[in-house]
Amino acid sequence: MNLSLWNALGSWPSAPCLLAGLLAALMIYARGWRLLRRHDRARWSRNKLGAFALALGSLYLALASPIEVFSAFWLSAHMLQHLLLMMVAAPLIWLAAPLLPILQGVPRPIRTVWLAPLLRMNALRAWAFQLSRPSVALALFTAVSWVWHAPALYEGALRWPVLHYLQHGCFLAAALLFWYPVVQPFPAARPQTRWFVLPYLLLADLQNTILSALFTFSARVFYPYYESIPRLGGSSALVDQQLAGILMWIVGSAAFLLPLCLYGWQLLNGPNGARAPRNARSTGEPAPRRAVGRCDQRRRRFDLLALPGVGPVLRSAHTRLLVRLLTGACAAAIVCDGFRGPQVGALNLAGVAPWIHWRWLLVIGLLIGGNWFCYGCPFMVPRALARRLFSARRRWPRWLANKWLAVGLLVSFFWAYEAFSLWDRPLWTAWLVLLYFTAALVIDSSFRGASFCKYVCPIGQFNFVQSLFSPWEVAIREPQVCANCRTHDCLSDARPEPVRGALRGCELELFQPHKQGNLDCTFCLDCARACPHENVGILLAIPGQTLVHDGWRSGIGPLSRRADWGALVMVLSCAAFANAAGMVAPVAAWEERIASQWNLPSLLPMVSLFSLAAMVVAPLAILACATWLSRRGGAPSAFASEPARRTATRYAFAFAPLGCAMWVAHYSFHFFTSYAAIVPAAERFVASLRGPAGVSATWSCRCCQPPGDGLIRLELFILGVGLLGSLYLADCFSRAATDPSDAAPAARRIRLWPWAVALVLLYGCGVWILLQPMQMRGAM
Amino acid sequence: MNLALTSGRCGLRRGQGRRALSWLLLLSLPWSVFVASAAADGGTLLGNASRGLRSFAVFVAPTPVRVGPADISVLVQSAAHSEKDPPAGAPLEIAAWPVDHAEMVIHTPATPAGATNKLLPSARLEFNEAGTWQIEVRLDGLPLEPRLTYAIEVLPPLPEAVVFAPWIGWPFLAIGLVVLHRRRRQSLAARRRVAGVNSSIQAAN
Repeated sequence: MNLSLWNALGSWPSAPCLLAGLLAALMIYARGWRLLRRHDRARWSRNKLGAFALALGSLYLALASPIEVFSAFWLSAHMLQHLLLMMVAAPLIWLAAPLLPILQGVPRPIRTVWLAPLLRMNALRAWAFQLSRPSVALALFTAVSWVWHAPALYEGALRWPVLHYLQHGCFLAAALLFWYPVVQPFPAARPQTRWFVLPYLLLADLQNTILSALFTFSARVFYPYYESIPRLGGSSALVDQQLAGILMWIVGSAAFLLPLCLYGWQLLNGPNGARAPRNARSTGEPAPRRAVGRCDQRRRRFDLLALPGVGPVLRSAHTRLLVRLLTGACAAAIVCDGFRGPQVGALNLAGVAPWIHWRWLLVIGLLIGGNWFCYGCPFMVPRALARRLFSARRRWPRWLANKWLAVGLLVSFFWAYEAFSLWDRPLWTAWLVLLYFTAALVIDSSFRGASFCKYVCPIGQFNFVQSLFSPWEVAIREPQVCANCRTHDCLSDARPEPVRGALRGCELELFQPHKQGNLDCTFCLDCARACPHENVGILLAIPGQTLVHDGWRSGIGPLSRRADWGALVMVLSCAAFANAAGMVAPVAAWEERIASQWNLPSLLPMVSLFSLAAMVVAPLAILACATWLSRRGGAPSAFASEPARRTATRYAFAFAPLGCAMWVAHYSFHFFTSYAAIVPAAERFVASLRGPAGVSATWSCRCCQPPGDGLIRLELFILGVGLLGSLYLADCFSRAATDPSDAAPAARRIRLWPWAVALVLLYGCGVWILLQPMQMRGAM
Repeated sequence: MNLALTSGRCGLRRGQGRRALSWLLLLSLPWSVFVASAAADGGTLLGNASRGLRSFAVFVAPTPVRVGPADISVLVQSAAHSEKDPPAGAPLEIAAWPVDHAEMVIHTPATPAGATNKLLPSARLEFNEAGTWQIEVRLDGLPLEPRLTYAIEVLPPLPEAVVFAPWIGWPFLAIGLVVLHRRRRQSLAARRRVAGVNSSIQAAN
């Protein structure tokens, strides 16, 4: 194959939106098809699914392949594109009979509220009925084909993209109308006779032949555009036009005449031949006993621990130890390089690995897989050793058995990060890691249970909150098994005296039958190992769904009564914005300007003031204002008597998705602009271990990449998803807070408004931050 | 399409046509997004000229060009069409400079690697100021004889909020759809309630 042809075949335009749309359509169809197939395998054969997939494939081929790229240069390529849309995609769509599968495949609220009333509308049915009459469909198809090939309109479509989109839309719509009477997809109402198909297809072929003959035999070029552009491959515009005409002739005739022959054969074979296969129930199966809408039964949730090969490995204590040792080795390398390496963040592992890579991997890992960092937490290795040396018998002080200490530590950490530029201080980072190891060692060698994880560890608290939006949770498989259980082995203090050799249950006091979501869960799987009935798994869950219900949950109680949890969520959410804002140029300039106006010796007071305002004052102000407004505006209800603190606590959790989105967007920026910075830092570290003879670092990987538009779009998209999640939660809380007897939705809306406004304002802040030039990591 | 599953009434009542039209418009929104995503026909032709045995066609995208990145693609062919294939791998280079500051020349090699259409070597230039810019095609690092230059007008950049407006505003579209959905569900429920009351009255009579 020569280079030019190879290059031509490799010219695929990027069309992610089109691809996403087609994949979504395929998923919806496949879901509906699967549900329908349970009741009528004969009608919903695999051919239908294949036809739909092929139809979507041909659409993609027409719109986002080299055909699309070269349609700007060659009329023949453009013609091929149109033929794919009209003669391939359209009939394949109808052969898949997409109406019922798509109706079944879309979520029930959309089906019942939007699609069903739409399909029941007399006006629409009348329009559809008129348009799908064979005479009307043929006339429209012919008109669209001829009108759009008129030089003025075709030239316009080549020069104006909007007109070009319209042209493609018209072609596809007209072709769908045309092929509908021919294919008559289930559940179309059938006409009495199908003889009309023969003249119908014959006439269509006739007009197609005339049009293609015009292209093939004309001595002049119809579209001057193709003459004005440089000719690829050397062929003239006229030859190209003739080739387009021949394509139209052959493909069009084949598309019209093959079904014509098929129908003719069926009609000649008997009076019922033409109507037999598709509409009648071919297998003679009895009618489905249940309505199709009710066929999706309650199924068992997908369980990661039940996967052969994966489950035993995850459950094994040795796997966990191995992962901990590996992460411990990484932490040791960071500490070692932090102490011994050059004190420049961009050159040191301690300046690159934790602040560019680990943070991003942590937050993405939480959202995709769950709290696996806590599973392999390196700080647990010294703790396990300490437990062998000391007997940790003391109980954690009651007055500290909450999240307030962790909230304070988190605020301090974020302040220190901003104030002392921790990302650029490898030595401080190394000390921080060592401090962590020491704290875990001291606390867990003195106090029973996992006190450090539950009440102290700031990283753990971050993980607990963000893993609320993970699709996985450690939960029980069968509630009935737990209902009959009397030993409660999944709790560590279920037995009054520890039994030698017995497996340890949950040290965070999470009783599995009453556990909801991932709050306070370290994914240690102690419960899964301890349960004698093997009734604990890692189950698939709807992200954030557990927040909707404010029931009593093990180890925590009702969330609305846990102001410490509410404060933790608010601080983490606002810190996401404050942490990102501290990196953008306008905020840095503003801090410098104020500091110089006030004659401050350094930026530290300004940064401290900013951190205090963003992480303490702002959350309090938001909660106070929104709580006051929502309680003042709402109509009296049974919940009006609850304390304001409880209202604020409940709604604080609505900020968690937006905060999580901001963390992801912010960390994604640093990761995607500086991910290569780890290469030279690691090479330099390895070289330093080997001495002067070690390999030299490839410093060309050091520099950051400028953030492209794609990255900013991704960040904005993630933030938008966060806003929608937050608004959904706020709406759920408003519904829950509305008296069920209160029929008017106005009360709910009034309660929701202040929170919605606060969330949208925070989203606006996030958008502003993401659009500003942000400080790079890994740069010198 | 004959969406009528059974033979229903086909007459249009007053007001129903408008409602149907608004429904169709609503449904056409996702369609327009779907179709719009299938763009990418290449850039606008700046000019077409022959130099020696070769012809050069220069395309620029986007249209209009604004401050920021822009793609310049060059189609190089044998002028006499005597060769079947355009010369592949010719070291093309695009140079650009503002007309007022000829010293601010930026050079970028044009390669097929970054181009959508791999037959057209493409260079991604960063226009850092608005105004008239000269674009020159160079082969082997040297200007062609006579020089192949084109003037293009680079417009000021759009505000970022405008550039990213769809990405900023999409949640509000989703919120609007949810609000519309809720309203519709409520009105459907109210209509069903009224229908239920009417039927029970009729049954009582």
